Amino acid sequence: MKKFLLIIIFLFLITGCDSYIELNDLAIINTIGIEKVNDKYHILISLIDEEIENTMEPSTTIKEIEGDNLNQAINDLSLKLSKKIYLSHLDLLVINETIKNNDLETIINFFLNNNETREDFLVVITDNLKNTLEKTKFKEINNLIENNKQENSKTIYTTISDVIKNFYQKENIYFPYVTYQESLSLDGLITYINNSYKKIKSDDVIYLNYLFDNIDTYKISYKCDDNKYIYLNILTSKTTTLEKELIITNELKVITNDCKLKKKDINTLFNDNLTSNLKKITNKKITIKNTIRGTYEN
Amino acid sequence: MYEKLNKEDTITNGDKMTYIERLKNDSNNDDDYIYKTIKLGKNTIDIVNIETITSSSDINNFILKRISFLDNLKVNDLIDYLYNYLPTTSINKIKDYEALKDKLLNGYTILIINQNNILAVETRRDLTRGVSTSDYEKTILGPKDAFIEHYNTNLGLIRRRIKDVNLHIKTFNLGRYTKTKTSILYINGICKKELVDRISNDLEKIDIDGIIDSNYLKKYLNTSKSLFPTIKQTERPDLASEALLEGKILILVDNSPEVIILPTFFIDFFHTSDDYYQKSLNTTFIRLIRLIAFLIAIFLPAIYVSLTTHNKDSMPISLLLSFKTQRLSVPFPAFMEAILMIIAFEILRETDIRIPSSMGSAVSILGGLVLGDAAVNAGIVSPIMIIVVAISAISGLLMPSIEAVNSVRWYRFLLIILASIFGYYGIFLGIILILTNLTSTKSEDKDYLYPFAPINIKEQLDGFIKLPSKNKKQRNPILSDNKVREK
Repeated sequence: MKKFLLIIIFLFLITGCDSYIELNDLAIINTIGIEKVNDKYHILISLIDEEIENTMEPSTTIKEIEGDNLNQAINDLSLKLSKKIYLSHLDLLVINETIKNNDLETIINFFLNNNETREDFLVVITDNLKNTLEKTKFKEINNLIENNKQENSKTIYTTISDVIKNFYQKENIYFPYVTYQESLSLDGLITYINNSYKKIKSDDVIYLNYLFDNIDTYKISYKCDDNKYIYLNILTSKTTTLEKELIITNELKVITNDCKLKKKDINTLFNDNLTSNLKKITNKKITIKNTIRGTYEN
Repeated sequence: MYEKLNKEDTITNGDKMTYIERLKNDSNNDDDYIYKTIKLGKNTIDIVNIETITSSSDINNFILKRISFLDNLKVNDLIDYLYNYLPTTSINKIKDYEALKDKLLNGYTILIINQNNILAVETRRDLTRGVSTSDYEKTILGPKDAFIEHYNTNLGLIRRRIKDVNLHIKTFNLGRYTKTKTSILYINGICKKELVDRISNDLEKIDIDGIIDSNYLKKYLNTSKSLFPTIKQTERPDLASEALLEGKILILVDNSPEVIILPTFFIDFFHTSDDYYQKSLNTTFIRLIRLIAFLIAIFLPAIYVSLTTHNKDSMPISLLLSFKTQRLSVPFPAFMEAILMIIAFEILRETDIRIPSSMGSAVSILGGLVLGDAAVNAGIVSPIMIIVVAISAISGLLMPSIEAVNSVRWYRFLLIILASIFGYYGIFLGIILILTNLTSTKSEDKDYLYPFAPINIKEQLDGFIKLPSKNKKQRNPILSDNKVREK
């Protein structure tokens, strides 16, 4: 009996019921938008509504708060809610262009100190925070980035853990850049350089992905004559990074070959193009090995 | 010529009262005690039987008709004649009043010749039903016969399957009033002797007024504190015979249609008799289904409670929102909701068992469908909770033993309570508690979790998986020293 009592006391001492909370007492936040207005943090929170019909695309309500710092702003949110703020299912962090490199540390610290959030949510930069949050569903942005990453390698899926890692390793952080004018669109990447933004065009993101061994698949075309093109589908790609060299192995498939190029010529064309673009972003020696399948002239 | 009785076979009634007077006195002159006195020349035969447990046609045909012309015999010749020529194989010479009572109460007719020579002739009335199919151990393949309440019939069903003189029986009469015939059955040469001695000792120690059914013996044979049963009962003679061939022991109890199998391992509750009548691949599949169902039955409500109260972050947002939407109008916390639903299910199940079958469908429809639907519409319980409890309850019923089904219920409650307090952490604590309990449990001094703990790789071939018998030709080494089962 003594042992039993000791076990019970021990159990209660090493844990507790403090994590107990019923589902209906939660205010589930799925998106946080951050911008700076007049040197104050202006935060938009997307809350999932109480009564929803479609659990795959639930309706949301936007709450706006302001604070001198992020913690204070988020804490002040509880003044507007009768439920417990629940960040575990945060899916998206949208940062406005007004956030500078110096503010990034504040944001990173907030999420590092918050043990409730996961580290796999997407982080994007936008030109119009209010529109992006109010007029789009959080799944839309996620799918936009995910599809473009998988289908044409024209973006990078940046999670908060990537941001934290690159920030503390003092490496460039690349954020997908989404714009909302009349509709949502993806417009390359944004990276901070000396507390200001540098924009990378979508087409150039492919070469950045080569550097990071992050190519899923993409299609590329080369004009060889008037109205004649050769279309290639890059099925797989593997980049091995050595100290002074990049070794890239591609598996290519020729989709159309109006130019009737030979396999050797296709190889040269593709390699020259890739090498010249990679040279713009790396000083390393570049070695490319290709396997080419499909229609070509022997 | 007939056998002469020895002088010492006759007894004298030293008491002042005659046997008949004593019987009348002891039985309070009950109505169903029939006394008849016949004068045959100089001899007097008092005939006593209990009408309710004896066959009057047997008494008329095999006793009364045979003695009516014996009026010229001397007393010893009369006794010898009766003993040798009454057309019955079961006739006993009685030497004292206690034996007389015992035989009388067991359906014998007592013949008292001249007040001091007693013979007991078996004229037992058949009060049992015929051999029928099993009620709760149904199978599709294999034999359909099941044990009944008659000891000899049950023994016969086993002897019909195991035709060997090494099938030994050790009989006890248990219960001060009931004197219930109880036997240990084992195959000499397969079963370990120490197991027989151990169980014999346990049975000999029993001192109780009555043993009404084999279930009465459980508390004497089961010393384990585990919630899970360490004794298996079966009403299938094929399963009982299979157990004997494995080196286990059977306990047959008169008036009980269930035979006890000892020792019993945890894995036995995942095996059924028709596992051995079909392809091993199918058997493996269905055993794995039973294992999955067992895990669902124990863990599903606890996992649900844990997910909705502590570990919401471990489910995808769409599932979380689905749960949240369904629980919007429910006034109870998830833990209370789960407990209420499980209790409601247990009430329905118990009602279904107790009420006549003609009313069963009405209760099922009213209890299961109408009330369930009304409860959801009224916002008392959420649809998801009904699904969780129903799946868990149905899965729990898949265990082939009712004792195992009942034990699952306690593990389910334990885990729900732990999950509601500690979440997943509590469930893992529960798993540790259950495993600790099971690993320290023994059935007749054999490790309950064998062949998993301690592990025996060969025995895994007939554990949760089953390979064709060519891969497993030996008996379980902890049950038998006679290892070769198939050559």
